Amino acid sequence: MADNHLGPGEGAILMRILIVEDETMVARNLSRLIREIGAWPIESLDHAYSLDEAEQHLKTQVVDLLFLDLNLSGEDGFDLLSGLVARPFQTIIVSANIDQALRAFEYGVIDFVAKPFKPTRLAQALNRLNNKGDATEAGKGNAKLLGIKISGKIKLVAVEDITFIRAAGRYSELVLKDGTTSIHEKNLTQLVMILPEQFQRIHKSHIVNLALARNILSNPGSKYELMLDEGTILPVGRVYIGHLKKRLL
Amino acid sequence: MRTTTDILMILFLLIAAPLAIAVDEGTLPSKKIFDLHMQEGDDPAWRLRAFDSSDWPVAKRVKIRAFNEITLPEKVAWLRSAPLNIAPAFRRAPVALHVFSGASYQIYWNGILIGENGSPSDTPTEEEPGFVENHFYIPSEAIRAAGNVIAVRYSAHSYKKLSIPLTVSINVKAHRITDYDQLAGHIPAFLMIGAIGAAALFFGSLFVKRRDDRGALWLTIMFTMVTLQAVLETLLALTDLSFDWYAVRMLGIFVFSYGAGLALNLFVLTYFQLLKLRHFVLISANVAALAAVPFYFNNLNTLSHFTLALFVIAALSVTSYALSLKKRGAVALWLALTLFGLSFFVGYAMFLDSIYYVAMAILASTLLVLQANAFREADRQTSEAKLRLNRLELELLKRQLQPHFIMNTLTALSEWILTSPKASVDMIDALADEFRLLNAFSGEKLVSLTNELDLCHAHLKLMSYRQDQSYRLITEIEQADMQVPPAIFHTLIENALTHNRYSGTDGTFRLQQRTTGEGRIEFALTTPPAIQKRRERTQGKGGGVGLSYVKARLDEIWHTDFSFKDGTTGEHQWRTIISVPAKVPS
Repeated sequence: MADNHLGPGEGAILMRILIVEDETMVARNLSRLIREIGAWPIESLDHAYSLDEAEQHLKTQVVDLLFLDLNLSGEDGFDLLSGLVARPFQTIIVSANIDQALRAFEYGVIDFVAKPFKPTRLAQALNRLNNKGDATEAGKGNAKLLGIKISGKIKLVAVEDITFIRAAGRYSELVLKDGTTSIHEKNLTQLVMILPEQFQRIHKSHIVNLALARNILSNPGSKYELMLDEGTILPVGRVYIGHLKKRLL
Repeated sequence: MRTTTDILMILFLLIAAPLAIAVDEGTLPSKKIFDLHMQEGDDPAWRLRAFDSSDWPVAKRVKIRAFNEITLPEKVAWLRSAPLNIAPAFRRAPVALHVFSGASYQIYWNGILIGENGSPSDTPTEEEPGFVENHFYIPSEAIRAAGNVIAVRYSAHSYKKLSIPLTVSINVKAHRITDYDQLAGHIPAFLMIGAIGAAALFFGSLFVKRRDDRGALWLTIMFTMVTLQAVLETLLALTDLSFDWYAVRMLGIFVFSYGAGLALNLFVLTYFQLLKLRHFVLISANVAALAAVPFYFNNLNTLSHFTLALFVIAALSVTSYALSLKKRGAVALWLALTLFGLSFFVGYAMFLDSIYYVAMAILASTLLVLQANAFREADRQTSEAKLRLNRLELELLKRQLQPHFIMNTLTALSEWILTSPKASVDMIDALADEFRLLNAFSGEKLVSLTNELDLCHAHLKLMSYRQDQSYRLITEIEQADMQVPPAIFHTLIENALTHNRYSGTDGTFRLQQRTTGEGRIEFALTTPPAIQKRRERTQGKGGGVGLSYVKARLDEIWHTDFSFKDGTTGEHQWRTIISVPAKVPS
């Protein structure tokens, strides 16, 4: 894996996509549409028939975006989903059952596209990933749970229990209300896309849960800091201060 | 609520029956004559009061029935009573002799002829048979306070053919003009005829409505038999009975007792679902009854009792067995049968006259309650089966309408339209075929095997287009005209395709149908080799809904008489073997 690869939203040039879909013709249709839409320059566009095949692929290849059929071989997709959303790539669900959409969003997927695919809708989903530079944005997703890996097992954390998130190399570190921390495999840019609006990026290395923010501290030299309810003080980046002030007032 | 009604019903019958018997008690005096002297021969002097017959042999008294057993004479014979006292109490009403016997006779009171029954004679041809039961009024001036003598000149050629000991019962009684006592004695039987007759009609009409209810059939037969038996029992009270008809009556009582006992056992066996015991139970009861015939051949009355008792014992044995199996209703029936059985011993003397009816009323009401409950249960099962069928219908429909099926098909179709319009037309045809057949199947419990196979072919063709694979079904069919539940093989194939991935080179399913021994048909459906390791896990677990659909459909037609086995075979292949009877139950 290339060290300089930043993933979508942080300057990725070539997209690596994996489609997990047990129906050949559906996968073929989806591949063709993705290529035709051309939202991203594509480095690879692969197809796995099953989760097992997908796992094999993920062991050897880096993936930026996963298209997942929720109804794989009759198995309950949500069991698999909780594991997948903990990973360092974004997931778009493709499914015939639109009644599963709400729940899928709560699990932290970036979009949900119904079958059969409408090119415009698919393009919209692909473009959601392409929001580079819009670092002032608040959370754009609907996730209520974040999957985290603890000694190989997936545990679901309620997003409202997160106080703030800080960058930790390629990953992120979630700091929870009870003071414990957990590593999440997605980076901050990826997380902003799936977290709900109450989460706000305040620094290149910090996202905060505004529900727990108290006030902005103004320091000499135009340096700003944010004080949280439980007393923690976090740095605020210059590019974010305007937006943050608006939201807190 | 239901239990309360049951208890009230039984209580009512328990109270009503003894009340009915209580009416039986006559209030006027009567006296049974037991000291009867017999003499074969014929002498007019033997009618006279003054004649001394004390050296004649005395008739044997049949204690339990208060009868005298008398000689069946070759020619004419005489009976004379010991001198009788008539108490003043008798004077309250006209005094009569009540005579019950199978003989033809002339009867004298103190030498005066007071009546005749038929006409006695030395030869069979000249004898005129009379009636079994008679009343003869005694002129009041002929009655003395003491030393009265009854003399009977009789013959019994007609009676001989009945092979029953000749008995006579003579009763001196103060007698009302209307024979109130006589009728009152039969009130329990009258009540019984009404109640049991109504029960017979009730169950008969239910059986007509629901032909498959064997329990109702046996109860109809049993209650009809008991009703007819009771009618014969009470015939004496309603009409004068000739000897010939008396014999028919006795034979009828025996036949109806036997029939009722048989039907009772068949009901009990059916009710407790123990029909496998029927040969054992019925043969032993019949053999025992048959064994009794030599002993009681000349006494149909006792034979009737004995046969009925044997059948009650048989029914009681079956019920005891059912009780040990904790079958529903076994306790109630066991108690009722035990009571019924005990009444044979307790009330033997008057058994078929009164106690019998009380015991029968209790037994009948218990059977009524049991059968009513069985009806309720059957009703519940019927409506459940109906619900289950509706659910199966819905399940089948849902599978075809579920988004996963339709949306994946449409997605694949839109891809084919763009890449190969010809293939997309074929795919639409296959989809239409599948929907058309499924629509034809809706509401059917059985469809022809040919149609079922057409559905499988259509589905495989559609799936071939959906997965750009080459699926097909090869069949080896022995009886194409067979009927099968709708969409069972279609479901198994669909299940296999949902839970597995097959190689692009070999997508062949195989269905073999063959006739096995014992009139059964076996189907073996084999899938192509799967290329996914996890297929066994998903086949075993994930196929739940589809498999239970297939099993429920088989169960609906053949109940438990089918077998369903599946497992791996060969190279990652899955084989399902279904065995069903060759015949579909009507």
